[in-house]
This record gives sequence, structure tokens and C-alpha cells, in this order.
Amino acid sequence: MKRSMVFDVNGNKREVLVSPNQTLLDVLRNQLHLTGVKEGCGLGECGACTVLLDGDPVKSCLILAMEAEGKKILTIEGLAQGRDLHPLQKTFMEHHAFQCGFCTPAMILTAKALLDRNPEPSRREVTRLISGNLCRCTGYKDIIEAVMRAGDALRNKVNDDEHE
Amino acid sequence: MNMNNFHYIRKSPRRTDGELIVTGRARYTVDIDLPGMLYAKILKSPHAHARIRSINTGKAEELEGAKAVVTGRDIGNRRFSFIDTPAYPADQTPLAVDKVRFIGEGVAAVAAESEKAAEKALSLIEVDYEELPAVFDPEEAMKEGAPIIHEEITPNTTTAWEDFGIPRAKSRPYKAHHNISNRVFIEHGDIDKGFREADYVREDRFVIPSTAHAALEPHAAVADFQPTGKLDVWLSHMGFEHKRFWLAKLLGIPLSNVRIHKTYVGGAFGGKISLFAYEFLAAYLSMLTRRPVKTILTREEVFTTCPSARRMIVTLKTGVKKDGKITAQHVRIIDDVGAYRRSSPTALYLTHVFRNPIYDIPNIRHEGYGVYTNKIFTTAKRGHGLQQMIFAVESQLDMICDALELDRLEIRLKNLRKKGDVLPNGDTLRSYALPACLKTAAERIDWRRKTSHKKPNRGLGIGTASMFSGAHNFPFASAATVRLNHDGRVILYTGQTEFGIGVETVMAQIVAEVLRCPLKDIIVNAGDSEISPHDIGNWLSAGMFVSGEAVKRAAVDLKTQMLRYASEGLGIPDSDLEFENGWIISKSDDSRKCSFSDISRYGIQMAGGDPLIGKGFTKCVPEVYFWKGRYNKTASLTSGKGRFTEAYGLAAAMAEVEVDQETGKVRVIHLVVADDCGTPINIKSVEGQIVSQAVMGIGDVLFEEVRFEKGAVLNPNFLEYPIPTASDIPKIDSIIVDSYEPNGPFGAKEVGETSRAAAIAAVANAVCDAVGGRIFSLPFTTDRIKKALVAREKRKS
Amino acid sequence: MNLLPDFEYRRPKSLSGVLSALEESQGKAVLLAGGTDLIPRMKLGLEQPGWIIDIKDVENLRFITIEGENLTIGTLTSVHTVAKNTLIKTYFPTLHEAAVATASEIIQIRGTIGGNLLQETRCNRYNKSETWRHAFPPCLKTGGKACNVIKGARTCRSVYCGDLAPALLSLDASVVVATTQGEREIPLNEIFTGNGTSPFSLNKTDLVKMLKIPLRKTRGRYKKFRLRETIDYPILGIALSVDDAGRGYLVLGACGPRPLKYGFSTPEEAADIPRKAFEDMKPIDNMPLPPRYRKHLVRVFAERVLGEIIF
Repeated sequence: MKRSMVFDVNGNKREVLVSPNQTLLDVLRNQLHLTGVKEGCGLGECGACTVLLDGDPVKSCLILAMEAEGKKILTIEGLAQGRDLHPLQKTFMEHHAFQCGFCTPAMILTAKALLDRNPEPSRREVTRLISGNLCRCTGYKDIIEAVMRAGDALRNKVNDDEHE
Repeated sequence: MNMNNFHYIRKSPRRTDGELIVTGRARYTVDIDLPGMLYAKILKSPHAHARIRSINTGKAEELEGAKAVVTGRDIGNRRFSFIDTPAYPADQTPLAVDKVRFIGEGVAAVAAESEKAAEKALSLIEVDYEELPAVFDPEEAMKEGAPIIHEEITPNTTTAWEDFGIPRAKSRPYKAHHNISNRVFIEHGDIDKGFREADYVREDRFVIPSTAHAALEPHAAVADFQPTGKLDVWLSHMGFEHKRFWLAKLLGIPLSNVRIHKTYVGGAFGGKISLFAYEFLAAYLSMLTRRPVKTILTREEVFTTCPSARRMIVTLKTGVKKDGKITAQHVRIIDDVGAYRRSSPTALYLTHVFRNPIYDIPNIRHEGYGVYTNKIFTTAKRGHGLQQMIFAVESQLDMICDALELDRLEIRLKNLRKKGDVLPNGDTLRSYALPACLKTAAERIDWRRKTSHKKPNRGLGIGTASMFSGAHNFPFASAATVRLNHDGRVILYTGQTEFGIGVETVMAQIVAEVLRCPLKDIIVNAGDSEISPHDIGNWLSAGMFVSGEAVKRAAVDLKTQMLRYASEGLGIPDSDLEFENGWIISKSDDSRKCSFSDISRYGIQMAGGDPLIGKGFTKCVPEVYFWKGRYNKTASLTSGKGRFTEAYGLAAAMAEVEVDQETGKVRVIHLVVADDCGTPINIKSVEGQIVSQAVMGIGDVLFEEVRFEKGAVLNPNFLEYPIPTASDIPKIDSIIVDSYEPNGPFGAKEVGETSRAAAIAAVANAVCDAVGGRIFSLPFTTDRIKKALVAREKRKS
Repeated sequence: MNLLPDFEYRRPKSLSGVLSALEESQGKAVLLAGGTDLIPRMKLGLEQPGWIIDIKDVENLRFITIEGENLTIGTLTSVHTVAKNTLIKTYFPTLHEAAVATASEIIQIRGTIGGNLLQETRCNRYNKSETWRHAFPPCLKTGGKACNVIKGARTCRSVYCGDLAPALLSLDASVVVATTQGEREIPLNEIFTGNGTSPFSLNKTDLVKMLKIPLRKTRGRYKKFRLRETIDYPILGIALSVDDAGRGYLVLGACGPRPLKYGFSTPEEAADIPRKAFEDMKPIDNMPLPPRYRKHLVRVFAERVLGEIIF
């Protein structure tokens, strides 16, 4: 039975009519029109549908929309603060960390989850966490580099903020 | 040409459209949402080979939400294919009409208000099948008494090649004797003489299965038939001309009525080239319902109903002198085509053409058959038949070295062609840096030391490959236009498609280099069939060499016009003016200059508003004419005679691996790939391409295979079809060797596909070196490696 | 898109709420934790529950604490939390390694220890969409009478592919189950039936509340053989734990419908296990690599893991 639900997406409260058998991915793409999150397989095997749920990277094709009630959802559209891109978005561009770009929103969000939790990850830790996100284009080398450099940038920013 | 004087090329500017991608705003076909849009789904055959006795769609049509239901008989015998020539007329229909020939073939299609309704409607369609005996192995299919997959194929329209205006022969019926769909026979030299001259001859058989493209964006299409009779289409594809042609032909509407819109494409790798049934059906259903129709294939459908890479059996008989010089090679290929021929004629021909530039083999016979079987058909994957052929050739070369105790690097260097060589078909190797590729890779991986002091359980291997830079396919040329805007910025119109190559950036670099203006002042409008001029497509390895050259010529044309106005306006002769940083400046007095917007104003003041538009085009092989009297120099797919391409990309790869002797598990320690792509326009982008190809190659060797049983794909998902993850990549060095292709834009030519094929051969050879035995089938899964290890132990004892 | 069937969704706030929802559903409910096993199964048409009871809001089910002589782990504790826990790493290195090796890190963050334990068995003819399976007759696991892997087979030999269970079994763990009739504690070994059609002896209305592991210092390893370095289920998993007195268990995972447990109290007994395991292992062709090879792997890995820890 459909019922009205309020989603907390990218800092905004959005009210949608949802039925139990809809996934979070479905609602995000088809009702909230946040098409940055992608469906690559629908079975949780490729990671293209990754969004952040209360800061954790999750595969939205495996989450029922109703499970997300009361949780903070972050999609790629919510990452930039107005005109300011997130350091990850900048380093992904600087380091050519995408080609077709289809896996990119998911990659960036997964990386953000990591950096939020662990501001100084090793290359190995970065590799481990993004391993659940498949990329067929880049071969991953540049993605790992971009995440490492974003980590640097975020730490410098924190240092700058602390000095103020 | 001074290669060190480039301002905008041979650099690594970041993608000009990067912001769209990192903010999630890049729009892919799957993201297109139109008002009133319907969803289409296809009912698929569960049988590999069956006659359709009847289809009852009554209940489906009555379902609330179902807006149109069609069957093969409704659509009729509209034929299409990838290659459609008088010798090989099209054999496929968008939905099966009388019989189905593979599991997953579409028999009916539905357009409904929602995906759920579409699925429900499908479940209400009743199909009565009469199962027929099926055949799945190509060698079985060629035997007497095997089930006949295609009765005589009688064309019911002109073939595409005739529509293009090429052949003089008319199309004729094709009879697939012994399920043979097509054949090739290419010869140069005297094969028997070549074998007589050899000191050592060996014959080996290699089996390469299908591997999937596994692009992250599933196959998808949106079609919107307008009340005006025009059709708007959004596709996940690799070049609009081919799609447009086939959509128009199959729908029976004028070519110019079909508009393919620009979309971002989430990966293609060769798997999205020619027309697919689902694309036609989206358009057809839109015509029927007069509403937009969207269809997105599930991942399983991508694996089971869309073609993967070619399944080939390559038998090589090679003769060499005792010093390793190859005297003769006889190639026999069986191309397991699947249910429909598609591009097999091209592929069988390309397996020869692609490898031809590498080694100078004086006597070659190259023959092959395409064979129908009751499985999903196949297509190109980053090189059409390239990796299959290279795996065989490079594997056998190592075996020859083992037998004659020759050095594996030396034998390759000894047999390579030379820069300037003219190939038997007339193509000239004006740029050829393969020796440098091999030497550089050898140095980087420390080949000499590592092979002479081999560590236990380790192995090293080499691979080489080459690839064309564009070839003949409709429309046989690319064009571009460049327009000067009044604010001094420039818009480039090119037909290229963006599926990861960074088209807009690279083409902007070319324009910037010609006009010597900042990259940010160039706006690129790419990929819309109505806005862009002709484009040969990005699926023919022609993006840089052909389309890039067209862009360069258009920019040069504009530059010439601008120079004239600048010279007139400033009162300075042409020869004293140069373009620098967005200005046109006097060489002798740099205070005398004008901006690009000044030129536009001058055009208004002095010429009443003459617009400045540059135009350029190039054909893929300029000397080819199809109808020049009785003169036809284009390559024949069957005999291999005739010009094919203007330039070849080349690469060499070397790999070091370690093999666990008890389990057969492989650890790739180091992979070095050296690519000759002429001038790299965007260095970081080229390096990215090389790494991309190398990683895909690792998957091809170690994990990937589309597995079949009785025609069913056993592993149609990302778990059972494992592609490399970030945790699976080894240390990879990508090297761009110094080279310059005189006929390419600023010296550029094809890049990347050679890297994958070379990497596959290198890793495969390294594994066999570590194992001490040969594995003749890909992929080298751990159980196959273990088997080879056991066999080696038996041989020792 | 793979569509989900229709169902009722409930998210009770307490254990009693879960139990009463289970009663109300009259056998039509399944429990939802992380969903990484349940949701794909539903999309493939392998499971069509009338009700889904989401237990993630139930309090006091996420913990790793010492209670008396046991380490207890709440059922909703994520696999990632298990992997990061220093107590577990110190006392039960096997469990630590198994958690680290589970799937991929992103799945570990979402997946719970309870859910991982109770994952359904797998087979390459079974874990496929409804459309795909239509090309074959219904099998023993989908309510049919035939096996699509071994012609004429009478029992289902789909494979239990969990990584945590072999480790937990090697540590002699037990589960505490909450039912409408009260709570009971069951040795982990007893929840596995060995029958692929119905691999667990628990009822659908039983809620695993927590795991209990007798607290003592152990040495051990979890060795996982899979195709890629991440994501993939095990082709074979071997867990070995041994206490200071030299007693322990070697447990095989991904070898059949249930893990196989081998106990030992001396090095000699341990040394005989690879041979026994090799004989007991009867794989069929329902996984990514051939059965004979997987059998060969058992011996290799069992010997290796014993060599690293015991010898």
C-alpha cells in the first residue's frame, strides 16, 4: 500500500508517495529526479547505485525506500556547496579519474564516506573501500590517486580552518 | 614539424566537461525522461531453436496500462544487420517472425504506462513454440546433418551497401551451406614455397571464447516520434550515422527525419555499434502510440541478448628458419557467429589486416569461415578479432622460441616490419615505432635480467599488436565546422560520440592549437546528428585520425579567413602576422594586433556582416574511389585486396607474473605497455586509455568468459562474470613512445586497442612461462593453470 | 529494473514488536536486516514474502561485549564493526580475518553478522532471474522435483557460502534465538541441516538475537579462495582456530549445503584432517570453478592453514 513519506535528501525534506516494494534507487531517480545515482545491475553487484545513508556508503538498489525514512541521504547532487565543489570533485577532474563517468558519482560518494571517517587513509585503505565500485573504463589507478589527493586537500583545509 | 612547439596539444588539460560528470549532471540515455513516456519490454524466447506456431497477444492488449503490443508477424520481414552487402545480405529481423534462433531472441514487444505494467503484459502473451534440434558448437554445425539455422536468405530490399551507392553487383540470395555464414580467403606470396623454405614448422590450435564488454550503463534507447513525422532518438551508442541509417530504413521513413540526440554514453567498448532490435522497437512503438517510448535492458538482458566479443578457433601453421625468421604462416579461423551473421565478414578480414603490419611474413594464407550456431551473435570488442588473433600468434611465437631455443625478444625484433614498408594490400607504414615499443618496454620491466635470472614460480611474457586508424564504413568520411562568434569565441561542430574518450576536450585542443587561442574559448557541440556534419563514428578507431583531421581542417579553414580580415584590417601582410593566445599579432611590432572579436566586428564593418565559418572534411582513405570507371581500390572483405587504412596504431606489452604452483592462482606483478599512437594530443587521456585497456586485458586472460550451456548464458551478471576491481590491478606502466604519423592531425593516430591485445598476449605468455607449459584456451582460470602444471610434472617424470 | 513483488512492510521498534508482527503475519513474513542477501533474492523471484519485518530499529541488538565467560555479538552488528573490533582481533583472529574477507567493504558496512550467518545457499542454476530459470524445470530448491545440476539427484546440494559461519564454528560459537515461545540457545553447528532445500533448522519466525563465543585466547586463520580479491563469494573457505591447549577445529566453508567441522586435540589428529576433508568433500558443478579442482583445493588449503598455525 502506498503511503506518504518524507525523505531527507541533500539537506532538503521531500515528500513522496511510496509503496513498500520500491527501492531507494527507484525513488531517487524516478520520483525525486536525482539521476546522478545510476542503476548498473539492480542486484548490488556493481556499486553504481551507491549513495550515503547517514554517512555510510550503501547500494541503493538493495535498500527499500521505506528503510530510508528518518535517515539522511546524500547523493552526488548534494555534494557541492552551492558553487563550491567538494575537494573530491576537484581532484577527480584534476587527475582524470573518470572516462565515461557512469560510475563516477558512486565512486566519489564512496570516497567521501571513507575520507569523512578516516582523513588520512593509506593507498591500500582507499583501494579496499572503492573495490566494491566497479569501473570498466579507467583501470582505477587515477581514481585512487584522486582520492589520496582529496584527502590531502581536506586535511589542509582543516588545518587552515583551525588556524582561523 | 617541431614537436616541442605545441601550445595546446601534447599537454594534459583536464576534461572541459568534467563538471557535468562530477556533479552528476551528465545525461545518459537512461536518464532521459519525457512527458507521457511509455516503457517498452521485450518477450524473449526460452528456446535456442524453435518454430513459432502462434502468438496470442489478446490478454496482453486488454491489460490496463498496455498501450501497444507487437509481434514479429506484425512488424514483418524487415531485415537488418551490421554488414549488409550483395554477397552477404541481412539475415536478422527485429523480432523473430517464423522461428527463433537463440535463447533470448525477441518474439514480441510491449509499450506500457509503467515498467510493471509492461512486465505484466509480457506475462500475458501466449507463444506456442515447436522446438527444433539445435546446434551450439561451430564444428558440429558444419557437419553433414546438422540442424539448419538459416534457410536460404533472400533479400527483400536492396542491401545497405547498395543503398550507400557502392557496389555494381546486385544483391542475391545467400545459401548457408553447412551453416557457413561467410568466408574469407586472403593470400599473398606462395604459401607452399614458404613452408618448403622453413627449417621448422608447427601447427597449433587456439580457442578464444566470448568475453563481455560489461559497460556500466546498460543498453538503452528512448524514441519520440513527433506529429511532424520526425523521429527523435536518444541512444547508448558509438556513432550516429549507422544507427540513423538503419532506423530510417527499417521504419520506412526518410533518413533526414531521424535525429539522434547527443547523450553521454556509459561505456561502449565496441558493444554498442550497430542497430539493435530494442532500439528499433522503441522507435516503432513510439510511431504506433505517438508517445515517447523508453527501453532499458536489465543487466541480464545485456549479457544474454546483446552481443559480446567474438568466439574464435584459430589454427596456425607457421614455418620459420632456424634463426627464427618466419617464412610462412597459414591461418585458419572458425568464427562462431551465433544466430545471425552481423559483422563476421568484417571480422574475418580484420583478423588478417590487424596483424599484418606487425611481422613481415612473406607468404601468408588466411582463410576462415563464419559459422551459424544457436547462440547469441557476437561483435567487436576494442578490436574486431584483434585480441583473438594476437593471442594465437604471440603464443605460438613463444612456443617456437622454446622449441628452437631462441630469444623471445630477439625473434620479434627480427621479424618486425620497418617504417616506410608498403603492405601487400597497398597500405604504407608511414609511422611505425614498434621496435621502440618493444625496447622501451623491455627496459622498463628489466627483461634481460629477469629472464636470465628467473625467480622460481615466476614468468615473463611479451605481446605485440597493431590496429587501423579508421576504415571504410558509411559515411566514409568525417566533416566538421567551426564558427567564430561575435564575442571572439569559437564553436566547433563535430559528430563524434562521447563514451569516455573525452572527445570535446581533445577536439578543442586541436582547434586551439590551430587558432592558438585558450581552450576555454572553444565550445564543442558534438554528437547530435542534426547539428553535426557527417561523422564516420567513434567505433572504427577513426575518432582521432579521421574526425580529428576533419576538425583540424575546419579550424585551418577558419584561420585562413580570419587571417585575411586581420591582414586587411591591420594593413599588415599575412606573412607578418601570427596567432598567439587568442590574438592575431604582428611579428615585427607586437603593439599592432587584433582580437578574435575584432575580426568579427571587422566582418560587419567592412563586409556588411560576412560570417566566418570554417569547414573541413577528410575521408578515411583519400585515394579510394568506388566508381572511378572500372577502378575500385577499396579493400575486398573476402580477398583482402585493396587499400584499407591510412595509418596503424601499434603497441607492445611485457608482463611479469607469479603462479602459485599448487593452486594455479596468478599474481600479476608488473605490466608494462608501450603504445605508438603517433602524437598524443592529450597525454593524460592517452595514458588513461592505455591503463584502461591493460586492465581489461587482465580480465580477459584471468577471469572473463561468457559461458554457455546448450545456448543459455550461464553467467549473465556481474558476480558470475567477474570484471577486475580496484583490488585486482597490478603495477602498470603506460608508456607513450616517440612517434609521428605524417597523415594524422598533428601526427596523431589510433590509440589503445593495441594495448589491450598486446597485454593479453603478454600476460598469457608470462603465465605459460611460469607454468612451463602451454595453455591453448582463454581464460587462464586457476583450474586450467593447475591442469597445465600437473601436465608439466607428468612430462618431467 | 528488476522489480520487487508486492508486500507489507513493518519496522517495529522492539523485540516484542517483531515477535508479534511475526505472529500476525501467519508465516508469510521474513526478517530484514541489511538486505544484501534478501533483496537480490526477491528481485530474482527466489523469495516472495507477503510481509517484510525490518528489525533494524530494535534496540540492543548492536553490541560486542563480554558477558560472563563469553564474548557476545548482537545480531545487527555490522560485519565491518566485527572486522574493526580489537577484542575479536586479539582473541579470535579467525573471525577477524573472516570478517575482513567478507564480500567487499561496502557490503560489510551494510551487512549484519546475523544476516551473513543466515544467508541462503547458492547454486549457479538457482541464483538467476525467473526468466532465466524458465529454460529449465523447477529444481529441488524452488519447489520442483529435479536438480538442474545433477540429473536424478534426490537432495539439493546448493552451497552455503558464508564466510563468518566457518570461523564461528571453529570457535564453538552458539546462537541465542528469540521466538514467540521464549529464548533458547543453540550450538551453531546445529542450525545447519546439510540440506540445500532448507539449509537452516530455525523457523522463519525465529529471530537470532546474538552470538556467543566462549572467551579464550585462540590462534587461527581464515583462508578464502575466490576469483577476484574482493566482492566474490568463496570458492572455498577454511577456518582454523586452536586454543592454548592445542585443541581446536578446522571448518570448511563453501564446500556443500553446510560447513563441515573437524575437531582435533593433538597435532597428529590435526594432520589427518586434510585427508578426511578431501574424502568428505563432494562438490558438484554448481560454482564458478569445476568440482574436481575445488576438491583439490581443500587438501592444499587445509594443509597450508594447518602448516601456518599448528606446525
